[in-house]
Amino acid sequence: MMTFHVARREFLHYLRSPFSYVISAAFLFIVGVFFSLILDNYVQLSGQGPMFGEQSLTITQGIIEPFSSTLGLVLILFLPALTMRVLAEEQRSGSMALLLSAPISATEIVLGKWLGLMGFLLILFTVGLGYVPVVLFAFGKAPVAPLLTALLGLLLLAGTGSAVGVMTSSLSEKQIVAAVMSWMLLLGSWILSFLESLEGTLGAIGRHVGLILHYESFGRALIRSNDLAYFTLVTILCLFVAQQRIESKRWS
Amino acid sequence: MIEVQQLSRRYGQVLAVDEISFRVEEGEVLGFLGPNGAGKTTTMRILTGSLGASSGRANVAGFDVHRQSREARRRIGYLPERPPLYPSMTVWDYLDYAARLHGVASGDRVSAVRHALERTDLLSVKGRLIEHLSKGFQQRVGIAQALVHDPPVLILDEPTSGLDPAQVAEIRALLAELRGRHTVVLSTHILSEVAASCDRVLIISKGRLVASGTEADLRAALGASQRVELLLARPDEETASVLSAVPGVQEVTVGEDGSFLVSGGDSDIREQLNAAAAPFGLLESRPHGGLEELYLQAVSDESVTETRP
Repeated sequence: MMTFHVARREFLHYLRSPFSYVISAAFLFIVGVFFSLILDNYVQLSGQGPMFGEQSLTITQGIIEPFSSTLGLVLILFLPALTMRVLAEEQRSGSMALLLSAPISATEIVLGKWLGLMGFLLILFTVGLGYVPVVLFAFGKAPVAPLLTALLGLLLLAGTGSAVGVMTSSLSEKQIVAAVMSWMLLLGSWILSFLESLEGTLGAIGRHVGLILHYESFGRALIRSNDLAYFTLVTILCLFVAQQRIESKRWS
Repeated sequence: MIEVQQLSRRYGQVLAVDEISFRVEEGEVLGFLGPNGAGKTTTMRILTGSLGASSGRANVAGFDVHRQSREARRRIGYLPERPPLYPSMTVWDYLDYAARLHGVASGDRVSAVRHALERTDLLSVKGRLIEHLSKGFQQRVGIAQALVHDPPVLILDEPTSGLDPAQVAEIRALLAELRGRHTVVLSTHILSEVAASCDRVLIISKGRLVASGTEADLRAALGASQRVELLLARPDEETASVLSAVPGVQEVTVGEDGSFLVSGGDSDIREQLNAAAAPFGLLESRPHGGLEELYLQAVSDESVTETRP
């Protein structure tokens, strides 16, 4: 119940804050540009018919997969700007004292913060990206399964990205420091995926730790248990660090 | 209502609170007096369960603030030195959130918030954003936040700091209303505040309890004598001897400004003294060396250092 109260306040804060609208608008604008580029590209390619020796691209291969991949990258670029304030602001303004002296546990604070963020992102995706399936269905015989798995991938990525944001925001009183830490972690693990082609340990790190590989399979209508485990574990780990950090406030 | 036993807290090498023990009875208003950095805020944060103690125990409303932290925190209203406000919320929404956090049931929430607004006289600004309020109003929102769940224990850290004199008077009037209905611990470094608002005083310095009790207790403990300063319209050469003849008077000295400083040992000599001074045109009679002197005496043994967390 306490978790719900914290989540509710957090959610309402994002709905009422001009800053979150600015960030959301920029995010949706860039996503929209990429969507139209990908769509345009696909229309041109399919208009030319199958090239010599090539199969024509399906909607999944030609639109959903590249769009899902781009959407993920744009999301992790923008997410830290939304999440940076989540705990840093409370610590800096002194309102953390209200939470620390209230009958509420650190776990409830952290879970509430994360759920509030997720609630806002859910609204953002529904309202701001609802046109994507509509366009695809109007456009042709869009397959349902890859759309659903791509959505699942997006939600998992948003959940993990938010958890990373909650963690870094708990580590610093300065919002900008929290944001930079989030960017470094998210982009760093995204880039780590490029190591996959290497031999040996580095390649293994790229395959297992890299964010892209775990995320992109969802765009190809694949739900793999190792990807699910990856997102779930990273989310729980980050929230746990944040919880420990809040708890340690009582002791420092 | 509050019981503290040998409470200590260190920050690294610095001992901020050093084996403090005290009790606060139900309905009592206790003043925490001490210079900045004496350990007042640290002690109060420990009492509210928002900071761990290094050693010792603290009980609030029958619950240990560490082992039964949640139960204890439910019964405490806390105003930190800096009010824990969310600037972008309206006063009403903020108090509603504070009520939710302190477990006020949904059916009682509207009346709880309204009641807190009435008690702090904030009804007129209930729809305003907190960031647009003056400092005095913000302080009152902070107090309303501590009151909203009607806790038996209120812990107020420097409730009047940084306010202008009119606002200080308003907050004091509010504190006077809280008296009797809540057990209150308030900290201050302003002496007149203690005299105005508190039943009992604890003086702490460098983390140690140096004196405690009512004003009279402190006076007795510190061996301070009753002294009265008299301002007379028509003093003459006989005045000093007349005043000396009043029963209980031990010493009469004449100040540079022509006032008479009369020392009365342990007994209260004011009534007879004033009667004796009346023929000389008594303009003013005031106790000399009140809390201020006691306070300085109490903290002067140890030099005051800044050890803020």
